[in-house]
Amino acid sequence: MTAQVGEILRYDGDTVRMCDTPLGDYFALGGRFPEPRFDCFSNTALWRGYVGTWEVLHERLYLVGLSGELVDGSNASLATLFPDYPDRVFAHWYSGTIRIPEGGLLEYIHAGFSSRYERDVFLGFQRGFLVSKETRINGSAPGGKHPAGYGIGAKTVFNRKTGGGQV
Amino acid sequence: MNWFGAYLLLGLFGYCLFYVFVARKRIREHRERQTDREPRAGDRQQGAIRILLGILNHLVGALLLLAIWPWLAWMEARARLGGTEGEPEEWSEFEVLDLFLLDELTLAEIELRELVDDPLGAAPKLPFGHLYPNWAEFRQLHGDSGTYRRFSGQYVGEWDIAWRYEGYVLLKKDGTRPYILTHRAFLGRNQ
Repeated sequence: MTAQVGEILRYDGDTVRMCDTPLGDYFALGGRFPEPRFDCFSNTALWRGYVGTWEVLHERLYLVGLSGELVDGSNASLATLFPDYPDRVFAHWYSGTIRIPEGGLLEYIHAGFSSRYERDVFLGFQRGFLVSKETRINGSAPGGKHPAGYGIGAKTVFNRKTGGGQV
Repeated sequence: MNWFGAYLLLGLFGYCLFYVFVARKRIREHRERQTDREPRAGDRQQGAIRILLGILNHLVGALLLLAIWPWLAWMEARARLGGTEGEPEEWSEFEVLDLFLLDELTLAEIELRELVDDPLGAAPKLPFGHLYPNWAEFRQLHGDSGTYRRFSGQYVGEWDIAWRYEGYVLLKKDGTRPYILTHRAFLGRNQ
Protein backbone atom coordinates (compact mmCIF):
# COMPACT_ATOMS: atom_id res chain seq x y z
CA MET A 1 0.00 0.00 0.00
CA THR A 2 1.27 3.46 -0.86
CA ALA A 3 1.77 6.12 1.82
CA GLN A 4 -1.47 8.06 2.08
CA VAL A 5 -2.09 11.79 1.88
CA GLY A 6 -2.99 13.15 5.31
CA GLU A 7 -6.05 15.13 6.20
CA ILE A 8 -5.63 18.86 6.88
CA LEU A 9 -6.13 20.18 10.40
CA ARG A 10 -6.31 23.74 11.68
CA TYR A 11 -5.34 23.72 15.30
CA ASP A 12 -3.88 26.30 17.66
CA GLY A 13 -3.38 28.79 14.83
CA ASP A 14 -1.45 26.30 12.67
CA THR A 15 -2.44 24.29 9.64
CA VAL A 16 -0.96 20.79 9.81
CA ARG A 17 -1.38 17.36 8.29
CA MET A 18 -3.01 14.72 10.46
CA CYS A 19 -2.80 10.97 10.11
CA ASP A 20 -6.36 9.88 10.77
CA THR A 21 -9.58 9.92 8.83
CA PRO A 22 -12.57 10.73 11.07
CA LEU A 23 -14.88 10.57 8.07
CA GLY A 24 -14.07 6.87 7.87
CA ASP A 25 -15.87 6.46 11.19
CA TYR A 26 -18.81 8.46 9.90
CA PHE A 27 -19.27 5.97 7.05
CA ALA A 28 -18.63 2.97 9.31
CA LEU A 29 -21.38 4.14 11.69
CA GLY A 30 -23.97 4.38 8.95
CA GLY A 31 -23.28 7.79 7.38
CA ARG A 32 -24.36 7.97 3.76
CA PHE A 33 -21.74 7.84 1.00
CA PRO A 34 -22.16 10.37 -1.80
CA GLU A 35 -23.90 9.23 -4.96
CA PRO A 36 -21.99 8.76 -7.20
CA ARG A 37 -19.23 7.58 -4.88
CA PHE A 38 -15.74 8.97 -4.40
CA ASP A 39 -13.27 8.05 -7.12
CA CYS A 40 -10.91 5.87 -5.09
CA PHE A 41 -8.81 4.69 -8.06
CA SER A 42 -7.41 7.94 -9.42
CA ASN A 43 -4.38 8.07 -7.16
CA THR A 44 -2.57 5.38 -5.18
CA ALA A 45 -1.80 7.88 -2.38
CA LEU A 46 -5.50 8.56 -1.86
CA TRP A 47 -7.39 5.29 -1.74
CA ARG A 48 -10.15 6.94 0.30
CA GLY A 49 -10.81 9.36 -2.58
CA TYR A 50 -11.03 12.62 -0.65
CA VAL A 51 -9.10 14.97 1.63
CA GLY A 52 -10.97 16.58 4.49
CA THR A 53 -10.06 19.88 6.16
CA TRP A 54 -10.73 19.87 9.89
CA GLU A 55 -10.66 22.47 12.61
CA VAL A 56 -10.54 22.29 16.38
CA LEU A 57 -12.57 25.21 17.66
CA HIS A 58 -13.87 25.69 21.21
CA GLU A 59 -12.60 22.17 22.04
CA ARG A 60 -14.73 20.61 19.32
CA LEU A 61 -13.76 18.92 16.07
CA TYR A 62 -15.33 20.32 12.91
CA LEU A 63 -15.10 19.30 9.29
CA VAL A 64 -14.80 22.59 7.39
CA GLY A 65 -13.85 21.48 3.90
CA LEU A 66 -13.69 18.50 1.60
CA SER A 67 -12.01 18.01 -1.74
CA GLY A 68 -12.05 14.97 -3.95
CA GLU A 69 -13.41 13.61 -7.15
CA LEU A 70 -16.48 11.50 -7.72
CA VAL A 71 -16.58 8.62 -10.17
CA ASP A 72 -18.55 10.71 -12.67
CA GLY A 73 -15.65 13.19 -12.80
CA SER A 74 -17.34 15.94 -10.79
CA ASN A 75 -15.69 17.54 -7.78
CA ALA A 76 -16.76 16.71 -4.25
CA SER A 77 -17.21 19.36 -1.58
CA LEU A 78 -18.61 19.46 1.93
CA ALA A 79 -22.04 20.11 0.44
CA THR A 80 -21.81 16.82 -1.47
CA LEU A 81 -21.89 14.91 1.81
CA PHE A 82 -23.77 17.38 4.00
CA PRO A 83 -26.02 19.46 1.74
CA ASP A 84 -27.55 21.35 4.67
CA TYR A 85 -24.15 22.13 6.24
CA PRO A 86 -21.90 23.30 3.39
CA ASP A 87 -19.53 25.34 5.62
CA ARG A 88 -19.05 23.49 8.89
CA VAL A 89 -19.97 20.07 10.25
CA PHE A 90 -19.59 19.09 13.91
CA ALA A 91 -17.88 15.66 13.99
CA HIS A 92 -19.95 14.40 16.95
CA TRP A 93 -19.60 10.81 15.69
CA TYR A 94 -15.86 10.77 16.19
CA SER A 95 -14.25 9.23 19.27
CA GLY A 96 -10.62 8.42 18.85
CA THR A 97 -7.12 9.78 18.69
CA ILE A 98 -5.76 11.98 15.95
CA ARG A 99 -2.01 11.82 15.32
CA ILE A 100 -0.19 14.91 14.11
CA PRO A 101 3.41 14.13 13.12
CA GLU A 102 5.83 16.99 13.72
CA GLY A 103 9.50 17.70 13.07
CA GLY A 104 11.92 15.89 10.82
CA LEU A 105 11.44 12.50 9.25
CA LEU A 106 12.96 9.58 11.17
CA GLU A 107 11.89 6.72 8.95
CA TYR A 108 9.93 6.81 5.72
CA ILE A 109 7.52 3.88 5.36
CA HIS A 110 5.67 3.77 2.07
CA ALA A 111 2.42 2.45 3.52
CA GLY A 112 -0.63 4.15 5.00
CA PHE A 113 0.31 6.68 7.69
CA SER A 114 3.23 4.59 8.94
CA SER A 115 6.17 6.99 8.50
CA ARG A 116 7.84 8.07 11.74
CA TYR A 117 8.68 11.65 12.66
CA GLU A 118 10.53 13.35 15.50
CA ARG A 119 7.36 14.08 17.46
CA ASP A 120 3.77 12.94 17.47
CA VAL A 121 1.02 15.08 18.95
CA PHE A 122 -2.00 13.00 19.91
CA LEU A 123 -5.37 14.72 20.25
CA GLY A 124 -7.99 12.57 21.95
CA PHE A 125 -11.67 13.11 21.16
CA GLN A 126 -14.87 11.79 22.70
CA ARG A 127 -18.00 12.30 20.62
CA GLY A 128 -16.30 15.17 18.83
CA PHE A 129 -15.05 16.87 22.01
CA LEU A 130 -11.33 17.35 22.60
CA VAL A 131 -10.54 15.54 25.85
CA SER A 132 -6.77 15.07 25.82
CA LYS A 133 -3.52 16.21 24.28
CA GLU A 134 -0.20 14.39 24.50
CA THR A 135 3.13 14.78 22.79
CA ARG A 136 5.48 11.87 22.24
CA ILE A 137 9.14 12.32 21.35
CA ASN A 138 10.34 9.65 18.94
CA GLY A 139 13.94 10.74 18.41
CA SER A 140 15.83 13.33 16.45
CA ALA A 141 16.34 13.35 12.71
CA PRO A 142 19.59 14.25 10.93
CA GLY A 143 19.44 18.02 10.42
CA GLY A 144 18.23 19.46 7.15
CA LYS A 145 17.94 16.13 5.34
CA HIS A 146 14.17 16.08 5.01
CA PRO A 147 11.50 18.76 5.24
CA ALA A 148 9.63 18.90 8.55
CA GLY A 149 6.06 17.66 8.84
CA TYR A 150 4.07 14.87 7.27
CA GLY A 151 4.49 14.13 3.58
CA ILE A 152 4.42 11.30 1.08
CA GLY A 153 7.30 10.11 -1.09
CA ALA A 154 5.59 8.89 -4.24
CA LYS A 155 2.24 8.21 -5.80
CA THR A 156 0.80 6.94 -9.06
CA VAL A 157 -1.92 9.02 -10.66
CA PHE A 158 -4.25 7.24 -13.03
CA ASN A 159 -5.73 9.19 -15.89
CA ARG A 160 -9.27 8.06 -16.53
CA LYS A 161 -9.35 9.53 -20.05
CA THR A 162 -6.23 7.85 -21.43
CA GLY A 163 -6.16 4.89 -19.10
CA GLY A 164 -2.47 5.56 -18.43
CA GLY A 165 -0.58 6.04 -15.21
CA GLN A 166 1.97 8.59 -14.05
CA VAL A 167 4.37 8.14 -11.15
CA MET B 1 4.25 -40.52 -26.33
CA ASN B 2 6.30 -39.48 -23.33
CA TRP B 3 4.95 -37.74 -20.20
CA PHE B 4 6.12 -34.31 -21.28
CA GLY B 5 4.27 -34.61 -24.60
CA ALA B 6 1.07 -35.61 -22.83
CA TYR B 7 1.49 -32.71 -20.44
CA LEU B 8 1.78 -30.19 -23.29
CA LEU B 9 -1.05 -31.77 -25.24
CA LEU B 10 -3.43 -31.57 -22.30
CA GLY B 11 -2.49 -27.92 -21.75
CA LEU B 12 -3.07 -27.17 -25.42
CA PHE B 13 -6.46 -28.84 -25.31
CA GLY B 14 -7.43 -26.73 -22.28
CA TYR B 15 -6.26 -23.59 -23.99
CA CYS B 16 -8.29 -24.37 -27.12
CA LEU B 17 -11.41 -24.81 -25.02
CA PHE B 18 -10.73 -21.54 -23.23
CA TYR B 19 -10.01 -19.75 -26.52
CA VAL B 20 -13.24 -20.92 -28.15
CA PHE B 21 -15.19 -19.72 -25.13
CA VAL B 22 -13.50 -16.28 -25.08
CA ALA B 23 -13.63 -15.86 -28.85
CA ARG B 24 -17.36 -16.53 -28.94
CA LYS B 25 -17.92 -13.98 -26.21
CA ARG B 26 -15.74 -11.37 -27.96
CA ILE B 27 -17.47 -11.88 -31.33
CA ARG B 28 -20.86 -11.47 -29.71
CA GLU B 29 -19.78 -8.26 -27.95
CA HIS B 30 -18.19 -6.91 -31.15
CA ARG B 31 -21.37 -7.48 -33.12
CA GLU B 32 -23.42 -5.72 -30.46
CA ARG B 33 -21.09 -2.72 -30.58
CA GLN B 34 -21.10 -2.58 -34.38
CA THR B 35 -24.86 -2.24 -34.51
CA ASP B 36 -24.99 1.05 -32.61
CA ARG B 37 -21.85 2.88 -33.68
CA GLU B 38 -20.59 4.78 -36.74
CA PRO B 39 -16.92 4.29 -37.74
CA ARG B 40 -14.65 7.25 -36.83
CA ALA B 41 -11.35 8.60 -38.16
CA GLY B 42 -8.41 6.82 -36.55
CA ASP B 43 -10.51 3.75 -35.78
CA ARG B 44 -8.70 1.69 -38.42
CA GLN B 45 -5.24 2.41 -37.02
CA GLN B 46 -6.39 1.80 -33.44
CA GLY B 47 -8.11 -1.35 -34.64
CA ALA B 48 -4.82 -2.71 -36.06
CA ILE B 49 -3.04 -2.02 -32.77
CA ARG B 50 -5.87 -3.72 -30.89
CA ILE B 51 -5.60 -6.79 -33.13
CA LEU B 52 -1.81 -6.96 -32.59
CA LEU B 53 -2.26 -6.61 -28.85
CA GLY B 54 -4.98 -9.24 -28.97
CA ILE B 55 -2.67 -11.71 -30.73
CA LEU B 56 0.08 -10.97 -28.21
CA ASN B 57 -2.36 -11.50 -25.34
CA HIS B 58 -3.38 -14.87 -26.73
CA LEU B 59 0.21 -15.96 -27.26
CA VAL B 60 1.17 -15.05 -23.72
CA GLY B 61 -2.01 -16.67 -22.41
CA ALA B 62 -1.27 -19.87 -24.33
CA LEU B 63 2.29 -20.08 -23.04
CA LEU B 64 1.19 -19.42 -19.48
CA LEU B 65 -1.60 -21.94 -19.63
CA LEU B 66 0.70 -24.59 -21.11
CA ALA B 67 3.06 -24.06 -18.23
CA ILE B 68 0.73 -23.79 -15.26
CA TRP B 69 -2.35 -25.82 -16.14
CA PRO B 70 -1.59 -28.60 -13.62
CA TRP B 71 -1.45 -26.02 -10.84
CA LEU B 72 -4.74 -24.44 -12.00
CA ALA B 73 -6.37 -27.87 -12.16
CA TRP B 74 -5.09 -28.66 -8.65
CA MET B 75 -6.47 -25.38 -7.25
CA GLU B 76 -9.85 -25.97 -8.89
CA ALA B 77 -10.03 -29.54 -7.59
CA ARG B 78 -9.08 -28.40 -4.09
CA ALA B 79 -11.73 -25.66 -4.12
CA ARG B 80 -14.40 -28.11 -5.28
CA LEU B 81 -13.46 -30.75 -2.74
CA GLY B 82 -13.37 -28.16 0.05
CA GLY B 83 -9.69 -28.64 0.78
CA THR B 84 -8.91 -25.10 1.94
CA GLU B 85 -6.97 -25.98 5.06
CA GLY B 86 -4.59 -23.30 6.19
CA GLU B 87 -6.32 -20.55 4.22
CA PRO B 88 -7.99 -17.72 6.11
CA GLU B 89 -11.69 -18.12 6.71
CA GLU B 90 -14.11 -15.46 5.55
CA TRP B 91 -14.76 -12.87 8.23
CA SER B 92 -18.04 -13.25 9.99
CA GLU B 93 -20.31 -10.28 10.51
CA PHE B 94 -20.33 -8.58 13.88
CA GLU B 95 -22.94 -10.01 16.25
CA VAL B 96 -24.04 -8.67 19.61
CA LEU B 97 -23.27 -11.44 22.07
CA ASP B 98 -24.82 -11.78 25.55
CA LEU B 99 -21.58 -10.77 27.19
CA PHE B 100 -21.64 -7.44 25.32
CA LEU B 101 -25.01 -6.39 26.78
CA LEU B 102 -25.23 -3.43 29.16
CA ASP B 103 -28.16 -1.47 30.60
CA GLU B 104 -31.71 -1.52 29.29
CA LEU B 105 -33.12 1.68 27.82
CA THR B 106 -36.35 2.91 26.31
CA LEU B 107 -36.47 4.53 22.88
CA ALA B 108 -37.03 7.92 24.54
CA GLU B 109 -34.00 7.44 26.79
CA ILE B 110 -31.81 6.52 23.83
CA GLU B 111 -32.91 9.58 21.90
CA LEU B 112 -32.24 11.82 24.90
CA ARG B 113 -28.77 10.33 25.39
CA GLU B 114 -27.88 10.74 21.74
CA LEU B 115 -29.23 14.24 21.24
CA VAL B 116 -26.60 16.38 19.49
CA ASP B 117 -26.43 20.11 20.13
CA ASP B 118 -23.76 22.33 18.65
CA PRO B 119 -23.45 26.03 19.59
CA LEU B 120 -22.31 26.88 16.06
CA GLY B 121 -25.32 25.09 14.56
CA ALA B 122 -23.03 22.68 12.68
CA ALA B 123 -25.21 19.63 13.35
CA PRO B 124 -28.93 18.93 13.32
CA LYS B 125 -30.37 19.15 16.83
CA LEU B 126 -31.64 15.59 16.64
CA PRO B 127 -30.76 12.21 18.15
CA PHE B 128 -27.55 10.99 16.47
CA GLY B 129 -27.14 14.39 14.72
CA HIS B 130 -25.76 13.90 11.22
CA LEU B 131 -26.42 10.17 11.56
CA TYR B 132 -30.11 10.74 12.26
CA PRO B 133 -31.27 9.33 8.87
CA ASN B 134 -29.67 6.02 9.82
CA TRP B 135 -31.43 6.03 13.19
CA ALA B 136 -34.76 7.08 11.66
CA GLU B 137 -34.55 4.16 9.25
CA PHE B 138 -33.69 1.74 12.08
CA ARG B 139 -36.55 3.05 14.23
CA GLN B 140 -39.04 2.88 11.39
CA LEU B 141 -38.01 -0.68 10.57
CA HIS B 142 -37.97 -2.06 14.11
CA GLY B 143 -39.84 0.41 16.33
CA ASP B 144 -40.65 -0.86 19.81
CA SER B 145 -40.70 -4.55 18.88
CA GLY B 146 -38.48 -5.74 21.74
CA THR B 147 -36.09 -4.61 24.43
CA TYR B 148 -33.38 -2.06 23.74
CA ARG B 149 -29.99 -2.57 25.41
CA ARG B 150 -26.77 -0.66 25.22
CA PHE B 151 -23.81 -2.83 24.21
CA SER B 152 -20.05 -2.70 24.06
CA GLY B 153 -17.88 -5.50 22.71
CA GLN B 154 -14.82 -6.47 20.78
CA TYR B 155 -14.88 -7.57 17.18
CA VAL B 156 -12.15 -8.91 14.96
CA GLY B 157 -12.97 -8.07 11.39
CA GLU B 158 -11.26 -7.97 8.02
CA TRP B 159 -7.45 -8.14 7.95
CA ASP B 160 -7.52 -9.45 11.55
CA ILE B 161 -8.12 -5.94 12.85
CA ALA B 162 -9.67 -5.74 16.31
CA TRP B 163 -12.28 -3.07 17.04
CA ARG B 164 -14.36 -2.07 20.01
CA TYR B 165 -17.94 -1.59 18.86
CA GLU B 166 -20.56 0.24 20.93
CA GLY B 167 -24.18 0.99 20.25
CA TYR B 168 -27.74 -0.10 20.87
CA VAL B 169 -29.26 -3.47 20.16
CA LEU B 170 -32.88 -4.50 19.98
CA LEU B 171 -33.53 -7.93 21.50
CA LYS B 172 -36.51 -9.13 19.52
CA LYS B 173 -38.85 -11.93 20.50
CA ASP B 174 -37.92 -13.93 17.41
CA GLY B 175 -34.31 -14.07 18.64
CA THR B 176 -32.85 -11.64 16.11
CA ARG B 177 -30.68 -8.77 17.33
CA PRO B 178 -30.62 -5.80 14.98
CA TYR B 179 -28.26 -3.13 16.23
CA ILE B 180 -27.07 0.37 15.52
CA LEU B 181 -23.46 1.44 16.07
CA THR B 182 -22.61 4.66 17.86
CA HIS B 183 -18.89 4.24 18.27
CA ARG B 184 -15.99 2.18 17.02
CA ALA B 185 -12.44 2.26 18.32
CA PHE B 186 -9.42 0.75 16.65
CA LEU B 187 -7.71 -1.66 19.04
CA GLY B 188 -4.95 -2.95 16.79
CA ARG B 189 -4.13 -5.96 14.71
CA ASN B 190 -5.10 -9.25 16.29
CA GLN B 191 -2.09 -11.47 16.91
